[in-house]
Amino acid sequence: MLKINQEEYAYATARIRAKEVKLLDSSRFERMLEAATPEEAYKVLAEAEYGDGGESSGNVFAYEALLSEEMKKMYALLEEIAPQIEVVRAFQRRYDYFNVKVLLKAEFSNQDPPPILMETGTFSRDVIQKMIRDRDYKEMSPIMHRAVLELYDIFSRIGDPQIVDLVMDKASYEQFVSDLSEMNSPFMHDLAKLMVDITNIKMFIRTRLLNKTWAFQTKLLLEGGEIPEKIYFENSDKSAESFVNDIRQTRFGDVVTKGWELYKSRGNLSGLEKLLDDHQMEFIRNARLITMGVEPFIAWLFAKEAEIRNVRMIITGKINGLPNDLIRERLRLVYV
Amino acid sequence: MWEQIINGQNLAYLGAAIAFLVAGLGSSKGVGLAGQTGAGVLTEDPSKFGSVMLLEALPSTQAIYGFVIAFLIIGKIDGAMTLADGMHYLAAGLPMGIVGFMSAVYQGKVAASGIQLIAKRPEAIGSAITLALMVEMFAILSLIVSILMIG
Repeated sequence: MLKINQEEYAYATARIRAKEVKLLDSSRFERMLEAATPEEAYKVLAEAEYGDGGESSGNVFAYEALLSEEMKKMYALLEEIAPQIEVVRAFQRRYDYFNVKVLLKAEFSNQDPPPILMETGTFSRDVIQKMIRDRDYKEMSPIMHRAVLELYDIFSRIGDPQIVDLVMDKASYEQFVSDLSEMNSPFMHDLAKLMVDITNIKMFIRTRLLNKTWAFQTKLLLEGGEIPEKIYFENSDKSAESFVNDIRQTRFGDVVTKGWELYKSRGNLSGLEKLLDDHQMEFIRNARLITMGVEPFIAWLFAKEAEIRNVRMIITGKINGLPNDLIRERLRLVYV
Repeated sequence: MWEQIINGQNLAYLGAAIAFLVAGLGSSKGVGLAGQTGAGVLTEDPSKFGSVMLLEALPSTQAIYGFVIAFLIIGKIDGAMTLADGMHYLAAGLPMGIVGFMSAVYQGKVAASGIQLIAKRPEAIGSAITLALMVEMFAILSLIVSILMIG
């Protein structure tokens, strides 16, 4: 059990509070949306001190480079100020799983790995590439190790690279939940539960709409949420709407009901997914009232991730000439 | 042997020790907490040093009050003190020591929050100081009570 002493976070929290002023708020997002050209929207990011001052800050088409620089910058700061590095590692491991997924998929389909490996994981790109190439799993966590071995086994039998996504995504969440429950912090435990439930709800509704079988769904269903597995099982051969009705009594009732209405009127799940993400942000926002501790520390990570996601949506929308209203309705709730 | 250790003089010294030691511990903790927070804010924005220092210093007053009480008690001590007199001064050290400790710790927390407040809104320095001063009141009251008890 990792003991979290809230007062040890005094320095880190203060650094973050001072940084929070620079987070993009709704008025700045509005300015980006109202900008006449993508370049003009991009300028708002320069004002918010995005990136590390490299070339990407001047060229709107290099926005992916800028956003990944910003993400790296965020993790570098968190690593620098974290009283307990394990807290940051728990979140960085998600990128390790992503990298392993990319590498294994490439290996299974006999291709070179695409240049999309993330640099925000706990292992550098070179190290993780070497680990997979040399089959050297000493440094891997037991959960990742098991998932990789399982994948080689399944792939040798069915030969479908798609299985990589299923196994690795599930393992990634398992790792995340296990890391978070190792921490002596009710906030982290609640966060893990919330994220599991949200991921399960999104997955279950999507797979029910595609009429997938329970055998398939159990491969994706994560453990450790508040919604009991029984509810998923009972609805595994019913319509998605019956599932929505069954979870009305849970804390997700309002969100899912509203999201389902949106699905019925628009015909896609993006509205429901946005509402669920916003629900998660509402939970993260509780950290605004906490003077010092792990909560504001982690909240900043979520704030920054949500912000970067919104920026990506606006910039791609602007480049592709989407109408402002369409972009606006997809923007996620932000922390500030 | 016990008569030599537990006598009026030593009890009074114990009172002085409690007044300063306990209040001083509280101040150290309070100022320490506010100081860490201040360092965080100053890393991002060094121009706030003035306000940060002011807020950080507030929880140090409890140690000063503890020092005053210890000083007063020590001034009263003489070799011929009875056990009852010693008890009296021991009791007089308690309000300052204990209330001083608690108020310094909590004032430190309020000061740390205040420092975070001015990191976001520098113009709110007045409110931040006022909030921290509210906690000061209890330290002042305990100082007065201790002084009255010393007589």
